[in-house]
Amino acid sequence: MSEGSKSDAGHGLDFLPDPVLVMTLDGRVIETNAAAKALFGAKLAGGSPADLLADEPEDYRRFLRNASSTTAPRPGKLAFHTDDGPRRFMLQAARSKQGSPNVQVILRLLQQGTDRFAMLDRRVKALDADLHDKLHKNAAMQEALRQKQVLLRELQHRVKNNIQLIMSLTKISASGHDSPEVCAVVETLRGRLQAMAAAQEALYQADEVETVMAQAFLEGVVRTAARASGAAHEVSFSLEDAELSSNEAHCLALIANELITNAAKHGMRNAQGQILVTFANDGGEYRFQVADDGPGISDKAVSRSSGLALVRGLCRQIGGRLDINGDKGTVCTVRFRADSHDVAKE
Amino acid sequence: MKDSVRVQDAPVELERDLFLRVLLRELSGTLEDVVGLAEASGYISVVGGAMGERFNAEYRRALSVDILTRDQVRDVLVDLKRRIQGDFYVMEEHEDRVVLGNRACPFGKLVEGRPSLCMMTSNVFGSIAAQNLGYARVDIQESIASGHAGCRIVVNLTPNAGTGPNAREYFRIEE
Repeated sequence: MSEGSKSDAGHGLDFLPDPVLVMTLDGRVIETNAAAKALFGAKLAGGSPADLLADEPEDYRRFLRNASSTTAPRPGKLAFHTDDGPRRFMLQAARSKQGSPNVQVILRLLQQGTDRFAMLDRRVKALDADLHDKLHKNAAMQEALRQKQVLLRELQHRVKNNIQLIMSLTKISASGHDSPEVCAVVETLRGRLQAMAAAQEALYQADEVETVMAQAFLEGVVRTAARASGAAHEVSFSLEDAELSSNEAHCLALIANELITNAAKHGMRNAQGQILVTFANDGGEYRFQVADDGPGISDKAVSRSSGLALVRGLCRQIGGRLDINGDKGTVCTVRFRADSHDVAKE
Repeated sequence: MKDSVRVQDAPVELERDLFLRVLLRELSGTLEDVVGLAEASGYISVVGGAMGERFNAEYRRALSVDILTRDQVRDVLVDLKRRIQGDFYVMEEHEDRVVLGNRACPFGKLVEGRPSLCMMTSNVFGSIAAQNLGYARVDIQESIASGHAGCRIVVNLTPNAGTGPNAREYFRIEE
């Protein structure tokens, strides 16, 4: 450094953590700070620009000349000789305001690893790796979910087939018996199994694996139960649509079967009458109702009915309740809260 | 079914000038977002300085002079903006400074919210003025880019006065 003795006198640059060099337009160093001395050491002592600057003289002189046109900092890059060999630095350069007869350019070197681009690069790379990892995990989870859905559908299919098999076995087992009691038990069992099979089939055929749409599902269940009860022409229905969970669908199928069977059995006057089945969504509470215009039902009959006991048990499984009004015909109403999957849509 | 419009006839607002202005807007916006306004302005300054040198040489050649006089510098600053569809005019002229106004930016509406692009004007003006008159300090006091109705640019020609926070100093460099 030809004029190194001035190093601490002019600009007072030692407080800056970045290496700072003050140069003439031909690349001679006339002032440095402590960080520059630590970085370049003996390279500063030679005095020749070629000892320090690794670019072609024409290139660094052009850069210094352009930088000398303004006192506002301009970005750029220059290569310097270091103990580890030539190294290119991002830097900011500006004309010095010092009133020297020679034009001076101040260079602030942004060390690799600390300059903003390097930090930005590292941050982008880290985010990119994080995103890639998340996408990879997401894809793996999607694939696992798809496989589980395939398995679940296969399971639902087998359950439905097994229910059909049980129904066939029950019919075969009862074929040799003429007892009215046995026939009644078998018919009741068949009706319940049919309701379960209907729920299973609806789930199996639904777009969603764990939910089913109420309207089409209940229509199938009601028609099957009415036909099995010999009341196909007496049953009418008004069914709103809603999304039912698998558990709700199974329970509601059995509840519908029991209530329709009861209505067909006890709600007719001389095999004449009407049964109205309703399903409605009353602001987040589902209401399933079976009403007949028959003679009504006594409290005693209510307490003794095993079918209604089953309905109450099923209601408990879906967090619902059963109300029975036997004053004008029999009106059985099941109310339960919509599961969160449907409430969230409202 | 609606009559289909040929792609070539579709009413799409696109031609070379607009394309380049949009390109500059997005490029400067990206720079401002990534490295910040100050450093983005630094990069635009490098480009502006080079363009200032180029235009300076062009005007000198066209006017057949080695160096522009003060009046020529003033007229060149207004003229070069006029040629690129700016609407600059001299608001005030004093011994030590020229104050220029502007009613239309060459970048049009696309300059709004891109103050780093003002460094183009600062460096082109500063470079031409300093190369011919020795010194210039360009202070963009108001700008369309920053939301003002017009621009107010003070080109100081002597280094006496204090430097404002938005002012940039320019000096003659060896040719």
